[in-house]
Amino acid sequence: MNKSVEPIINRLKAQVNSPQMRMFLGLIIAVFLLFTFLIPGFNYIKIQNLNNILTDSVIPAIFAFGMGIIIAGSGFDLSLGHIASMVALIVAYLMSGGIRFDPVSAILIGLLSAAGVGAVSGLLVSRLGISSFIVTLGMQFLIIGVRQIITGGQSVYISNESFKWLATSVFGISNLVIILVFVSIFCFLLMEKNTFGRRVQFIGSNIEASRFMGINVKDITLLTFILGAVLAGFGGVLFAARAGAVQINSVDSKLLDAITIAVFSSVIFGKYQSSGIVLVAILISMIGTGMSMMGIRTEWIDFMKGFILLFSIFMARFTDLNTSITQISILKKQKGAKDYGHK
Amino acid sequence: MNNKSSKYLRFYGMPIGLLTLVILLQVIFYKVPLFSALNIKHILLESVSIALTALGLSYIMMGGEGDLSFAGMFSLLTVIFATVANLTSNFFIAYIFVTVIAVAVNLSIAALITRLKFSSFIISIAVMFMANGVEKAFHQQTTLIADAAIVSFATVEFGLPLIVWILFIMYMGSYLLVNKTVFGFSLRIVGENNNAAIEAGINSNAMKVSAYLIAGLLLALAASVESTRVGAIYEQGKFYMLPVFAACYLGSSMFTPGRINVFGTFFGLLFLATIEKFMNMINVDSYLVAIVQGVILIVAVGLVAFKNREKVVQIKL
Repeated sequence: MNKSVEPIINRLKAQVNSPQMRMFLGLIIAVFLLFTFLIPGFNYIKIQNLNNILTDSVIPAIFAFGMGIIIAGSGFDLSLGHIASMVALIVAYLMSGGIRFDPVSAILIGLLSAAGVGAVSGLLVSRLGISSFIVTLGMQFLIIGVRQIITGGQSVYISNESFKWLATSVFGISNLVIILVFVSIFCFLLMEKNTFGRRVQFIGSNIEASRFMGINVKDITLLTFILGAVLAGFGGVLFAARAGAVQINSVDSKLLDAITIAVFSSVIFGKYQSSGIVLVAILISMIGTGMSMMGIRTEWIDFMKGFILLFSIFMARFTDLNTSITQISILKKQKGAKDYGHK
Repeated sequence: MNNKSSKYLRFYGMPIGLLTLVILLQVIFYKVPLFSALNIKHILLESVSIALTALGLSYIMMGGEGDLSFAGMFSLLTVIFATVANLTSNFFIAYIFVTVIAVAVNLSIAALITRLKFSSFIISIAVMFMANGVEKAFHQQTTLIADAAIVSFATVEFGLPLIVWILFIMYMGSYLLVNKTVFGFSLRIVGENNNAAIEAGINSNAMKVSAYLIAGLLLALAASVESTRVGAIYEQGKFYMLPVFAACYLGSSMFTPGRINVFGTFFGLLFLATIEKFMNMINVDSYLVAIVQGVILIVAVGLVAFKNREKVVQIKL
C-alpha cells in the first residue's frame, strides 16, 4: 500500500514546493493575518466567517474555470457573464409560471442553450478567423438585446424548493462547496490528465507548431468555447439557486471575477491549473469579505479586483517564477570562485 | 474584371454598398424623413461623443495596440466633469481637470505597454474595471450640470452646433496628421510591423505613447461634450463599447481594406448612427438596436478577416 501512496505524496510535495505555490500560500497567509488584526473582535477568523468565505468563492471559481479553459487556448470570452445571466433566466423561467419544468430538465435546457451560444462564438472564431474578443463583444450585446425583448426587463422569483437544494448546507458545509470540489476534479482530469487538455494548452502556447503536429486546431478551439460557456452557465444556475431570484442582469458583473481569477492563475502558474484557480478564488473572496467587514463600500471592492488583476501581471513579470525559489541568490549562499574551479 | 476596377471595388465597394443600403431604407420607408436637415443635424449631434472616442481608439489601433479602458474611463470622466463644473461653474476648469486625468491614465497605460511590454488588452481591461469601480463610488445615478451657462455651450450654433464643427475639425486634422505627415506615416508603420519600424529607425515606443496621448485628449473632449449635452449617465461607457468598436472595424473594411483609417471610422460611425436613428424613428425597441449593431460588428470584422479565415486569431495575455 505504501508503494502506491508514495508517488502521490511525492507529487503533492513537489506541488507545494513549487515557487508559485509557496508564494501563493504566503500571500494567502499575509492577507489572512492582515484582516485578522485589522478587524476588531477577531470576527474574521470565526468559523462561521471562514465558512462564508469558502462558500462565496464557489461561484466565481466556477466562472473562472470556464474562462481559464478558454484562456488556456489563447482565446478570450467577454460574454461569459451574460451567458450566465441568460442561463439563470432560462432556468428560472422554465421552473416558474405555467410551464413548471422539473429542475433537472430545466438546468439541462439552460446548459444546452449556453452550449449553443458558446458554439456560435467558437464557430465564428475558429472558422471565420475573427478575433475572439470582437466576437464575444458582439455576442454580449446580442444577449442583452434578446433577453430584454423576451423578458421585458422583469426579474423572476424561484419557488422550487428542490432547486434551491443546490445552495443549502449539510452539516454546516454548503452543497456549493461540494459541487466546487466535483467541478474542479472534473476540470483537473479534463485539462491536466487528458490529451484534450494538453492539446488546448499546446494550441495556447504555439498554434503553428500544433497545426503541424496534426492537432485539429479549429475543432479544439470550438470545444474550448463551448466548455467555457457551459461552465459559466452552470455558475449562473448556482447563482440562481443561491439568490432565489434572478434579475435580468444579475450575473453580468461576475465577468470581472472570472477574468481576474483566471488571468491571475494563468499568469502566475504559466498554464491552466485547477488548484491555482480555486486558491485565487479563495484569496479574492478573502479580500472581498475582509474589505466589506471593514465597512468599505462594494464599489471599492470592484476597484480592488481590477487592481489585483493589474498587480498579478506585475508579479508574474517581476518574479521569475519558472526558476525554483532556491535558485534566487538571496536565499542561497553565493557561489564562490572555488565552485567554478578557479584558484 | 481588370485589375484597376477590382481595386476600386475593394476600396470603395463597402462605402457605396452601405450608402445604397441607407438610400434603399429611405425609399422603402418613404414616410420617415431620414434625410431632412433637422434629422441630419440630430444624427451628427448624437454621435459626437462616440465619434471622438472612436477617433481616439483608431489612433491606438493604427499603432498596433488595443484599448478597452475607454469603456470605464468615459463614464468616469463625465461624472468628474459634471461634478467639477457644478462646483466651479466654469467650463474650462472642468475641461482641463478631465483632460489631465484622461491623459495621465492613458500615459500610464502606454508606459506599462511600451516599457514593460505588457499586453495592452489585459492592462486596459484592468483599468476599465478600476474606473468602473471608482465611477460607481462617486455616482448619484444621473448627474446633471446645474449651471445653465455651461449647458448652453453645447447649444451654440453656427449653422451646425459648435460641437459638430469641432468634430469635423478633429477628423480633418486627424486625416491630415495620419496621411500627410511623417508622424502619421511612422505611426502606421509601427502598427503594421513593429520590428520593421524599429529596423527603419522609427522610435516605436514614442509613436505608441503619442497615440495613447492623442486618444486621451480626444476621450476627455468626448466626455466633456457628453456631460454638457445629456449629463453623466450611469455606466454609459459600457454601452459605447459596441458602437465605438463597430465603427473602427467597419471603417477598416473600406478605403484601405484591412487597415484602420480615419475616414473609414467616420463613415462607419455615420452609418451606425443613421441606422440607429432610423430604427428609433420607426419605433423599434431600443434593445434591437444593440442586436443590429452587434451583428454589424461581427459581419464587418468577418468581411475583413475572410481572406485569412484559415488562421485562428489568438489573444496573448
